[in-house]
Amino acid sequence: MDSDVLYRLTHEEDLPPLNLNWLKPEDRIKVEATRLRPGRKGLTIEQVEASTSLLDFSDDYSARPRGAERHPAAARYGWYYPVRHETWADNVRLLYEEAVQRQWSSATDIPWHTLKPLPDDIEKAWCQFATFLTEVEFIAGDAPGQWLERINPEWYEVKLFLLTQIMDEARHLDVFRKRALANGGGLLQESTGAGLRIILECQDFSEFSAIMHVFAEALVQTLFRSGEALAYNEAEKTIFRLCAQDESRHIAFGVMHLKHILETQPWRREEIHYYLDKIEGPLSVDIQSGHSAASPIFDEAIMVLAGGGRKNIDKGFDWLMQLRRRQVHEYIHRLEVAGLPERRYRLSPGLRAFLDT
Amino acid sequence: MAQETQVKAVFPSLEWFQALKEIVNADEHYRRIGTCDTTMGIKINDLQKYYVVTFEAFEVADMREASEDEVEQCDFWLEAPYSVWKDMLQNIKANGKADLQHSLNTLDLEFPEGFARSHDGLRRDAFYRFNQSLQYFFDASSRIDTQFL
Repeated sequence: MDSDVLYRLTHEEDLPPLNLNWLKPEDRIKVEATRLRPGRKGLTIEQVEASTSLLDFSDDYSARPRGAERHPAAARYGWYYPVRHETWADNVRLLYEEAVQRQWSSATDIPWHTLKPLPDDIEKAWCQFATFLTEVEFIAGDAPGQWLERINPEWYEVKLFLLTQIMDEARHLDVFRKRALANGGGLLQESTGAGLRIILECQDFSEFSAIMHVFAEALVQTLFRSGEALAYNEAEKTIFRLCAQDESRHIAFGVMHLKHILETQPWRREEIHYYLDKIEGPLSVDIQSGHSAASPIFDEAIMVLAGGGRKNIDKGFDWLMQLRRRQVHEYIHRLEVAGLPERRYRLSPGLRAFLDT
Repeated sequence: MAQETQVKAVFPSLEWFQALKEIVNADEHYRRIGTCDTTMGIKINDLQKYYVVTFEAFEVADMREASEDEVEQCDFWLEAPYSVWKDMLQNIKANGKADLQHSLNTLDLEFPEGFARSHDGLRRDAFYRFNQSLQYFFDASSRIDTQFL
């Protein structure tokens, strides 16, 4: 054996001296003074951060938690958004806590026992409807996931909120897949997915949020709410109600982020219009056929369900047109709340037609 | 939702809403749905009756009679003629909870102007964000012996 190795094995190594400077016993009085007590909602982020002054800029690319002392040798983790406004929304803390509190389980919170055999065309329409939504929710989970590593730890609340959104979308994917399988029909036809790819191809967080939260999820939320009219039993009705709740949180984040961007970076207004132009066209609707460019078979499924069967497809078409009107009106109203009222006059022709009816 | 009916109250009245508040605040299941933070107005136009319900954290924090203007300052308000309210509450009483045709959301879809209304689209979304809690709130009225006018 090498004599150096033999020496090291037979002698204790010199241990570095303990360094307990971080304990800072002189700070004890400060610790006592800032102790927090849980309020009616428990100990919330809003409470623990009540005395925090938020930075607007951070060029720290380590994983340093907000408020922690900077380590001179801390490794960089990558590139984060350095400006708070680029990812922030003023309601993000509240929405995160709300999301955590209002989670539900597709296994136990849906009264699956109320599913009963349905006429063949209705069951198949439900399965086609659920197949497309399973696909949509897959993308809806992937999209926020792409942005997690870009969220600066200085504004960690946004990361927490996106994580709840991913969990929500996972549950939606799961619950629609279960519905497709639970009554014997199974998964049916995949869509082309072309429109949905736009959501994954965003190059900027605000682009992603405008396209995903403000546009796409708003359409889906209106559908889910209206979906109670497509429900044939308590299980389906509960699915829609619970999914719509989750989608509403995502929209609330998106609308407030858009408002924040328009207030703090007003020069980005045209850029936001450009993003909305990008998504409105491909996910627009042909008013003649009622079909969306995203997936005509999805709309056909809705018409069969809303009409009460294949025989009443005209009634289903009328219902779908009513849904489209509601979707477009609500989308425009939210943009007005966010501070983009002129969008009403710049809507893609496929959507504008519904504003006039 | 399996408790015996205890309270007798007239709808609409502050006593009726107070009874509902007490039932919900004593209900562990309501808490388990999660936090609910919103102000909801109640408008029964043909009777000129208006109420404001404040939901906070895991409970109904406040319930009061209000003016029409105050109701319109809420995050959203539920507006329908008395006959619709009566029909909804009778349905809840008969089934223990609203059936598919009488849920808040279904009623919202049936009215051209909506059942849940607001001057602010974002604040109106509270109706959807907390829909399960709100439905549970009204479903709990099955435990009141409701008298109608």
